[in-house]
Amino acid sequence: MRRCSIVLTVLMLLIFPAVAFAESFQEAITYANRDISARYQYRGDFFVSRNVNRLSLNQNIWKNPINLGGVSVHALVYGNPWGDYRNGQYRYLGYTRGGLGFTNINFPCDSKDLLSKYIEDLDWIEYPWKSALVRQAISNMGEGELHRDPMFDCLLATRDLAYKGLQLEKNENGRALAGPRAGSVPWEKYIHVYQPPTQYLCGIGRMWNKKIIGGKPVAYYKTVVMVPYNVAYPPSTPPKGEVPGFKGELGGGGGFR
Amino acid sequence: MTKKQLIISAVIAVILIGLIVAVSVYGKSNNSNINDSKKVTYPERRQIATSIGNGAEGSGSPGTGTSSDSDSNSSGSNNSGSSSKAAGSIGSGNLYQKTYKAAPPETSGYPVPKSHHFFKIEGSLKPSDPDQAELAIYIDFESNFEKQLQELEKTIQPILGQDITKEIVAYMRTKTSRSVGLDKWWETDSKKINVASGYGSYIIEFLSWKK
Repeated sequence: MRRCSIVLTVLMLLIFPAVAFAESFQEAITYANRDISARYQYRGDFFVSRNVNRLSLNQNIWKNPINLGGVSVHALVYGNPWGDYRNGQYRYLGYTRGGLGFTNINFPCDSKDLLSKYIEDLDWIEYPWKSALVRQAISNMGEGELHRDPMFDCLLATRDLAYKGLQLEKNENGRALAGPRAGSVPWEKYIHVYQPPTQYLCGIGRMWNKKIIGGKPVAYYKTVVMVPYNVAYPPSTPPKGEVPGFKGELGGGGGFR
Repeated sequence: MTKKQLIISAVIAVILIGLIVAVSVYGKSNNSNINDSKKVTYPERRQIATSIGNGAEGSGSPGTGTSSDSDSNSSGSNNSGSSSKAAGSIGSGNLYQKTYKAAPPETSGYPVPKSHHFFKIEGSLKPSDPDQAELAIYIDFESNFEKQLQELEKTIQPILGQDITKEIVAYMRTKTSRSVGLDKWWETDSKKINVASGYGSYIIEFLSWKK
């Protein structure tokens, strides 16, 4: 009997945290969807259980956030990491809802330009979804079609949130990626948003710059993090406990601590 | 297996089961709060408008002019004007506004209706750039779909002709749920047309380029 009770206790202790965590992942998605609906007037759920290729949201990727200058970047991706593997990182964390590759910000840059230039000094491609060069680059990488997202691309908020995200990044030599003029670049015109930022969830997107190599234009991409609204604009009076679904420390509204 | 041992193990089991139930109930009660969040107001949004307005003021040009890739297109420098304009409007407080300024849809040459039910309709984002669509019509297939299709038909038929118009409208009708994705191209002597809708999206895009 003693053996029975020990086994029972151990089982319960193992099940208990699993149950607790499963709840918080679902909550994160619920909060993020609620936030996106309220903030961007997006009707229904942005994050759905499966993407176009029937791949489900990856809980492991979500629970292992990337640390970017002290900000936790949780990615809500579909499917598993894939693509080239360098320095212990896959090029893609998974896929977007529409089936495009969801690029990994920790994957080493293909171009070494950022070792000698500031981010604002590269030739970023405006409205990339309209660019034949970008479309070709995406096609060459075995991804799908890039379409403008009429809800989340080109929003004014993206400019500041992306700038604050870029300020957190450093190049391989430890120098800040963003230079003195990065604050005045209209970043929202260059970024295709995969994951819209919410109060507590980072936004993630990608932009492309053009380089001339051997007389021909080539597009290189850069994954961009948009900091959550609460990082860019901390509320002066925390709404903790006052508004349902907006309990500050629990991450209500956006879903993350 | 004494009575005492049985009682102790039963108590432990009850406590652990109780804990699990409590956690589940707590989680659900949180979710029910979330479900009430239609009433949620975003106190932060008031703050955001002011802070962004202050942060974005005094912007200079985007600075892409110093790029050593100066033989490539100067998309960055073209932005400087619109950037500073947009920065000026940040102070008005709408963080969720689009920052580009599209030309009026009438400039496309299509007979655009004065009043319509489209989700959005706009002309070129950059009339001098042939890569930019001269007309973009966004249709919300979940709201007044039929009306929007009729209006689209009236708008595009005089330019694209009856056959292609019918094909386009018929193709749009295949968007019967959000899980249907669309992407198809048409060409006439003078126009190139794309109809697309992302998986999960409720918006269908109609884009037209000059050939």
